[in-house]
Amino acid sequence: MADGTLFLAIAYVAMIGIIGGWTWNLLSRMNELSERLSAAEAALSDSADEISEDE
Amino acid sequence: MAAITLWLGFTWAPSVNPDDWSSPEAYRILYWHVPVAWASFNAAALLFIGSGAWFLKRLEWGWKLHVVGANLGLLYGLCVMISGPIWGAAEWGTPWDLTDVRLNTFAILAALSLYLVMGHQSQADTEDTRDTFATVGLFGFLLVPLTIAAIRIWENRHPPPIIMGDESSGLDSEILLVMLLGVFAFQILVSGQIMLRYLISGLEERLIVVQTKLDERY
Repeated sequence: MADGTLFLAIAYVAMIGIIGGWTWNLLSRMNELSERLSAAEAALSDSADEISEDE
Repeated sequence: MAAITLWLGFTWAPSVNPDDWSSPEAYRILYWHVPVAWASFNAAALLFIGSGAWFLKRLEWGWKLHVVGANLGLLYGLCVMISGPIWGAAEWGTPWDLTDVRLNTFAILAALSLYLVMGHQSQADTEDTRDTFATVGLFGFLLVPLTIAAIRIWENRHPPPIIMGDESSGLDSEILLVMLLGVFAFQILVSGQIMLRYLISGLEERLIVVQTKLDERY
């Protein structure tokens, strides 16, 4: 490994891990927010229906 | 495209002369090391523009750009700070040289991004804190031209510049082509990550609006 192959492998694995992990976190956060927004909008729509029925 | 760069870098790009290098194969780190360094400089530019837009004009998009710039600056700064010393350990026999200005100014730039990201997460989001962080972003950008100029003015350990350097820094055309493909690939990746961050920001704002409406009803 005197030619540096092991160092090269460690460096690339580390960079792929960091960039992949960060991007994965962004995508997870976006999916989580989308689900929470859909649930909140559904709750808002239900409450609007209840109010109109009461009236 | 970044993966294609890596594949080309390992399979198509030629090897360097083993007599000139201690760890000849380790040179292939540059196919990502240089593109992520450029990506971190671009992130610092976004940070600078966003900080200026917020500090001078109180523009909300400016603050968002500041936050995105700090995050991407940390991400790509970290990649440079990991890959560089690993290559240094293989080639120089030491991961760091405190007398090399280039290494030190870049480390400060990455530390600045870390400070901003941690600050955004720990401090209350008020105009005063935004002003403080924006000032750091504005003055911190000075490190970018200093870092770029450092290897031209105080050449020590770090290899000479590849683009617009002197004759000794010239690269084989195939190596340069693969590296430039990497630079292009990472610019696209950065653009995609900025768009994702803006999408998330938009979703967060919409969620706050809907939750506020729900709170008002119940």
